[in-house]
Amino acid sequence: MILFFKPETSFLRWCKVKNGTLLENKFKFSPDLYNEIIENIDDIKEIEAIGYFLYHGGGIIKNPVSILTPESLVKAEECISFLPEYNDLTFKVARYWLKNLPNVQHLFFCDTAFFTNLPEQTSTYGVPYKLFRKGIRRYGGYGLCHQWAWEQAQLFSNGAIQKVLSIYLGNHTNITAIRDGKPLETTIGFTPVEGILSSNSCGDLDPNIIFELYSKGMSFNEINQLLSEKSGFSGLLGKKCSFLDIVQSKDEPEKLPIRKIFHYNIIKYIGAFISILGGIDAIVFVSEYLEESMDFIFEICHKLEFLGLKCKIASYENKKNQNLTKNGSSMKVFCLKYDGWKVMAEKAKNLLKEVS
Amino acid sequence: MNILVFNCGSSSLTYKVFRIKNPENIEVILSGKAHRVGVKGSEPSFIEHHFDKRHEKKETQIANHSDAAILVLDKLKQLNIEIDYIGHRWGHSVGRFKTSFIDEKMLETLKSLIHLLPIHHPAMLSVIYKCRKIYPKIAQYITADCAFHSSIPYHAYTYALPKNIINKFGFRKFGFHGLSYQYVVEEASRFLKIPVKKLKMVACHLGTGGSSVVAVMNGQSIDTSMGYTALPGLMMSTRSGDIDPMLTIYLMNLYGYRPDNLINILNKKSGLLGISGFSSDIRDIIHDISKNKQAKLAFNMYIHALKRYIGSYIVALEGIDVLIFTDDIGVHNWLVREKACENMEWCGILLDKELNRQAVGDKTSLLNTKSSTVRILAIPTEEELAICSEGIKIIGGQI
Repeated sequence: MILFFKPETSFLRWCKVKNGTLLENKFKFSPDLYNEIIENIDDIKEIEAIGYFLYHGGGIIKNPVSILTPESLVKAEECISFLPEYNDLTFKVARYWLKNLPNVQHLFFCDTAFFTNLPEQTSTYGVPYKLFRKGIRRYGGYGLCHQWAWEQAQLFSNGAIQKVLSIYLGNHTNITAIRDGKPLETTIGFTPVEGILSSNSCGDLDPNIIFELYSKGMSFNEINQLLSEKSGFSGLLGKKCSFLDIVQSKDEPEKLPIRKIFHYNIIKYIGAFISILGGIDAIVFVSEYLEESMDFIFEICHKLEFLGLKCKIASYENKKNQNLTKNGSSMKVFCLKYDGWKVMAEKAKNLLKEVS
Repeated sequence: MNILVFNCGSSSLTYKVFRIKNPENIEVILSGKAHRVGVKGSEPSFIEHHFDKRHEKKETQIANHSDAAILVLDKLKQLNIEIDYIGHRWGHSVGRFKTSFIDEKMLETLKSLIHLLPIHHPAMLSVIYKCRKIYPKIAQYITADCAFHSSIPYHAYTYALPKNIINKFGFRKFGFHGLSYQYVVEEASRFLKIPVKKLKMVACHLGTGGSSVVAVMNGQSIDTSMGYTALPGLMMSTRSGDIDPMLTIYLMNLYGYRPDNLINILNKKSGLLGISGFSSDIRDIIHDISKNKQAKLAFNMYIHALKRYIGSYIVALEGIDVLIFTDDIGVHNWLVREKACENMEWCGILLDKELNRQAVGDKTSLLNTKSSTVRILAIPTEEELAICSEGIKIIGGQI
């Protein structure tokens, strides 16, 4: 049995994986973690390994998945400051189990590690270079997801695919361009706010707007909140609005303009990244909400027909590797149902095999 | 009637004197440009003048745009050229005007718009004031550079901010280099002898100071890389281009940067200068590319951002018929064009490397191979002519 922990803003998600079945739960972190877990599993002795999900490795953690020891934990602590709201909790939990269950394997999953070696011209912002040395750079995100999408595309095509766009569709939609297994571009930047608008965050924005808001009396904390929590779909609509609300809004006039903005944002990044890849072999859509997103996915594919993409319109089938293209299409389009725990479990299994 | 047109770039001042017999008969009797105005670099500033088939070039200290304007006005006096009107390019009108005479009220309006283009507007205003001082009796007008982009649709100009904030402050994408785009789009159509309505175009205005890209359908702008102000988009000589918006808050909160200092850094100390550490001029950067790691990075970043936008707009347009390069870097720098067109076969862009290297920047040139489905053009822009034409429209009966 393997346990996995993933922090959220106000609680801790965890999941136990035993003989291929997943059981998910969540609760607040407390000093009584041990007992809470015991209540949910049959026998503490069954635990072979514990995995911890870290959102932001700050360029310090370079492997998407690695073995965690008390020593490596201390070294990694430097990255807490990159996203303290989440990272702090990951480290608390990891410290707790390293101390209480020192004899099982501890695994660290880092969601930015895939992007450690982004090309320099991608990771660097056009600001004075001394800021890059201070850690002001593009870090990306959803690395475990995009790396998995690449691996799946390789499996389906027997390795015939070199240039891939991995598009994660969800409450924080983002895109990564991958060539020969290496990411060349990604929409998430220094923070997840950059890139495509989400349910609550604004995406790309002229920085001068921030200075103007400040000069009109808003504090930086207020602006921070405005851009990351009150903007995006919800801000434009004037009330709470999620990814599902938008992709299922075909007949709702008040949401259509927002759907169009969202669609256009994705289209622009697809074009930008095909240009950086120098062409495209496959697009992989990855989502927890594939059934609901199929219409939206076809709307995106439709805009790429001029490049020779030939779609076959279909509803979502619960197959592992649904290919949406006809014979003779210049590129493949795959749809993958995403389950973050499963991907972590797969990676854990492989790593544990390697070390044993 | 003679119209003197001033065109302030961020690091240059171009001027032309047009002699207008009637709107169809316009000739340039004097023209010139001050280069590297206020630029930190290895080469000196200079001003050039062209008249009566003569060409003068003079290296001299040009500390700011107001000094450059004095050099131009002195030249007019020296050549005994009388002028009737002075026209200026203005950057950002927030959609309030396209072309207008400058009176006291307009000066107040212009002053209230300074912060929107903190590099250009003060320079433009300083030239306007200098002209008023030296020629108090001559009427001056301005033409706004963002008007061409008024056709950008809602989904492309909207920032995903709360709607009450958008309504209160008027935040949206405006875009710039409109006078230049207006000219090169029409020129491309003339040159290719294909109506503008049949061409999907991406045009790259690559200046020594500011640069941007536009997507054009039916002769109209549908999107452009600059935004509410001229800061975002491509990486430029001293402007950062696109950055994570949160980065600004992070720098102020954690590193204690003051807002006015950070505005100054992003506008005047970033871009090619910020990355290379030694020059804001792409020509200096290219010169040092093989021996200086930072120069190489700066060049790669410049091309990377350009390629991102070209690709973006090709997909937004669902195809492309014409790719245009214009303004100083766009027409004079073959290496920038060669790199921007590299590995673009996916959309039919095939540059003829020989033609590209041989192209001279003073006339419209076709640079693609025969098998390229996309026509690639280098077109020297004519913003001043566009400003003159706009002026003739409002001067109207006064001629």
